[in-house]
Amino acid sequence: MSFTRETAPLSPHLSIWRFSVTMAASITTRITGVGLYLGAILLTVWLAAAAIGDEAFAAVQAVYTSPLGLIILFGFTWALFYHLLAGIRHLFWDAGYGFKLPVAHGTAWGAYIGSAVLTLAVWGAAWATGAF
Amino acid sequence: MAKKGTAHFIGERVTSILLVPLTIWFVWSIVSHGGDSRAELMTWLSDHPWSAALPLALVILVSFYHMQLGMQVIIEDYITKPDFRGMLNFANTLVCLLLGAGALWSIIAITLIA
Repeated sequence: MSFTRETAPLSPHLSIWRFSVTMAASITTRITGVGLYLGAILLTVWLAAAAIGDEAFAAVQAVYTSPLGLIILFGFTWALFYHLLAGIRHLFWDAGYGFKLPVAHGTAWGAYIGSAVLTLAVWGAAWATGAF
Repeated sequence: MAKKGTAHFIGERVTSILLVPLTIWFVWSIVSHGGDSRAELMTWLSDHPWSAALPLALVILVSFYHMQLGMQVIIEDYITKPDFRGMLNFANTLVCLLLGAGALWSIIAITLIA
């Protein structure tokens, strides 16, 4: 019987595991990575508009500071902070630290809570300084 | 991407480490300059080539490389058909190269024009 990549069973058999915050943290890291990929397009458009001219820049600023634009930028900020904290968590793992279950659970929650706090702090600071 | 695993692994780690300070700088800069007019933004970049334009260029360069590596892992995790996988990997590399080049060109243009 042939056993190729196409017929091999898929891991990690999502349906059989009891939910844990570390699973959520793992997939959230990947999803925020994809989100940031799209966010990088927004950054490139913003810079390109600034390079092209006043009209182009005004048009992009108008879209980005519209209600929907601000919601997307808020999500971009959270994705950036979450991915940053999750990335630091991964770098500690690479160095051999943080594998004990209470630590792994704590840092997963820390990435969620920390990214939420940092996002609100940054938007609070931006609002206070009149950036939008 | 056969026989390139080690370079990919090292590239992911090196870009991750570099992106920790670069991301913090980037967020701080966008809070300070996200609401700038075009003239203010151009002045900021052209008046501070070493402390604004250069780190921004590094954010772009390292991020797009990190994005290319990360998206490649996602493609290779979920796409098993070799042709489709190869096509997506090519598209991913192309998108990252073009966007990265566009963003870098913009920074250089702004810094030199203003």
